[in-house]
Amino acid sequence: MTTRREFLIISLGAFGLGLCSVPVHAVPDDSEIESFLTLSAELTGFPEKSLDRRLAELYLASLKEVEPADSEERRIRIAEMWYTGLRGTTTGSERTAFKTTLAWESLHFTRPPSYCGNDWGAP
Amino acid sequence: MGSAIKVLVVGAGVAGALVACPLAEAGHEVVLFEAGSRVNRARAVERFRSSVDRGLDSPYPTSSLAPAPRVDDWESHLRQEGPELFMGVYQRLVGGTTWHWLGTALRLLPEDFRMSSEFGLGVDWPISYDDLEPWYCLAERELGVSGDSSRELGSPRSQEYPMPAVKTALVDRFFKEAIPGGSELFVDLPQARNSVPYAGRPRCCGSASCIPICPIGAKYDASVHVEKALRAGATLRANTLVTRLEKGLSGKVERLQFLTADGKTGADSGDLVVVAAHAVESACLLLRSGLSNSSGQVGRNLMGASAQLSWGLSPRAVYPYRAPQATSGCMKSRGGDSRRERAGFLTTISTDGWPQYGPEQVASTLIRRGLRGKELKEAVADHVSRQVALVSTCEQLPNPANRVLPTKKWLDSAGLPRPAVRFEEGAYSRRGVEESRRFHQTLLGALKADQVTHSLAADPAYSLGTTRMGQEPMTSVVDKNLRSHDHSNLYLVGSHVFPTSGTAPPTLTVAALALRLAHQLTSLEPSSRPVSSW
Repeated sequence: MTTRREFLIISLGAFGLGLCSVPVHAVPDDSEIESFLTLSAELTGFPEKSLDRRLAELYLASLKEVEPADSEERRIRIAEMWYTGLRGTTTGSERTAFKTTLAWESLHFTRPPSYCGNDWGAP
Repeated sequence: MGSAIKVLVVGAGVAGALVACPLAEAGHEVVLFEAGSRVNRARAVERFRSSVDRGLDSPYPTSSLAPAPRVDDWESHLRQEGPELFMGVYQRLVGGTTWHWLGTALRLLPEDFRMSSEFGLGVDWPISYDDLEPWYCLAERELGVSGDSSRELGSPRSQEYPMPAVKTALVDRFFKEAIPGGSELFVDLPQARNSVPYAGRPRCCGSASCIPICPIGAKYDASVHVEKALRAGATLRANTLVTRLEKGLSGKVERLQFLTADGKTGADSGDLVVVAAHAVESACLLLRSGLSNSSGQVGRNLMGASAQLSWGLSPRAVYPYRAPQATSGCMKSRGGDSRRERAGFLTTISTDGWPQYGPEQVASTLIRRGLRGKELKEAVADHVSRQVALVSTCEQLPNPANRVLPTKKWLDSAGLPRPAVRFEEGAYSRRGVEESRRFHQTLLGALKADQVTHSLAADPAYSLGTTRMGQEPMTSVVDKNLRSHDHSNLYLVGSHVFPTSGTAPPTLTVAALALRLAHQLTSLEPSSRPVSSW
């Protein structure tokens, strides 16, 4: 079930897009970030405290600026941004993270390509 | 040492670097020209990590002086005139395409040098496997090849590999166990990758990014020998495009013209000129210059490799993305009588999951299927940990109709005629691809893999054959010593001199040919020459 705060986050983009003649402020306040992190933890399966606050700010900014209005699609995009490290911007896709993307964090057996320290040959 | 000679080398990839280095070490004056830039490894790794797609080109600096094909746009440099796409990508950099090669360092088979005599196909090489064998040994020492010397791979060896074999990946063991005789079928791949610290470079750390970049230089790339040549006194002119070679009245190449990144033109002269600029650019340079083409073969017989990719989901975890990207391969279909009918091929087990469908893509799919939270996280790990893939690369035969030709109508970003390519892989290679697909199906079936998929969308990044070597000046461009049939001080070296392609990745053979050439040239005497100028 969507809480009121989560509803606000999911709805923000549509509101922002509706006011496209007014500049959208990309820097969210603390409570907005906290709510976003709570929702992100629920969607991604990673504890809230393990989620990078700086990334949260970037993803929230993307939600306001370019992400779709449909609430379910917005939940999908939130999970996708955390898992892929790619966010939408007005000029296209942008990589915000690689090593700390949740897709790679999900893999207990390796690090992302180009990072040393892997052993191989044994289970 | 006799008197020093001056040698101009065009192209600072593995071929050019391995010619330049022994010549410089022997005290000769060497100038190495490279259209592309030098690569700073740390910055290249950062570019890779911060790119959106982490593609083949993502780590590397580009420049308008050195346009090259890109895998995301096959028309980006080459003009593809069909009927099929030519997918032999290459990098124009100091260090060349070895920056993003996998590192598999197989020798050709003895029969690869005798395709016409053995199978009635293509042409024979003017040299034999035995001629090249000592140079393969030297190339393995120079590049630093790890391998199992006790294992016969069809290419007899007179010396051991300089390093023990790289440890094989877990997935290799599962395939070996699943197939009857699997341990015989799959062998440790010899790799130009350090299994122990070697030549001042560290051992492999399992970063699973050999393609497109090794973060620590455990995998050989030709910047090693460029730097070594520079320490021995060679001069490197990076970001300097050789636009034209000019011959004098004697028929020798007398001058080389170049263009720099700031738009300046210049010229240089030497006793010898070595063109080592890969199959497309070397041929275009000769054709633009109107040189060395009395045979009409320059630019013709362009070959790549046909490839078959297959993948599936193993019933148990194989844990990809933590080893060199291939550590075992199957040699059985590379040679033998079946080559009369269909292309030989090399099959390798990939250790880095499905092509173009890694953890990020898996996550995206699962999210869109409705998975959330812990269920999502576990499903990503489960799927990725079970991804297995196979790739086979099949040889292509020389066909004079497959060619590259600079086209004056279309200019590239450096202002030179763009290379137009006409290419068709041919039925012989297609039959090889079909056979390799059946083999993949058998292997994946034995592994009890699910969701088995086959695709031809692979790019082995080979380009060969456009200035082939041969005994006859009427049908080849260089002789068995890689000297132009037409110009006595012009040498060509690289995969473009291969008369046929074989089923080994070309790099080790290119290295062996380059070292052989360099050692032949070191005994040459100087001649009178014009003074070099800017």
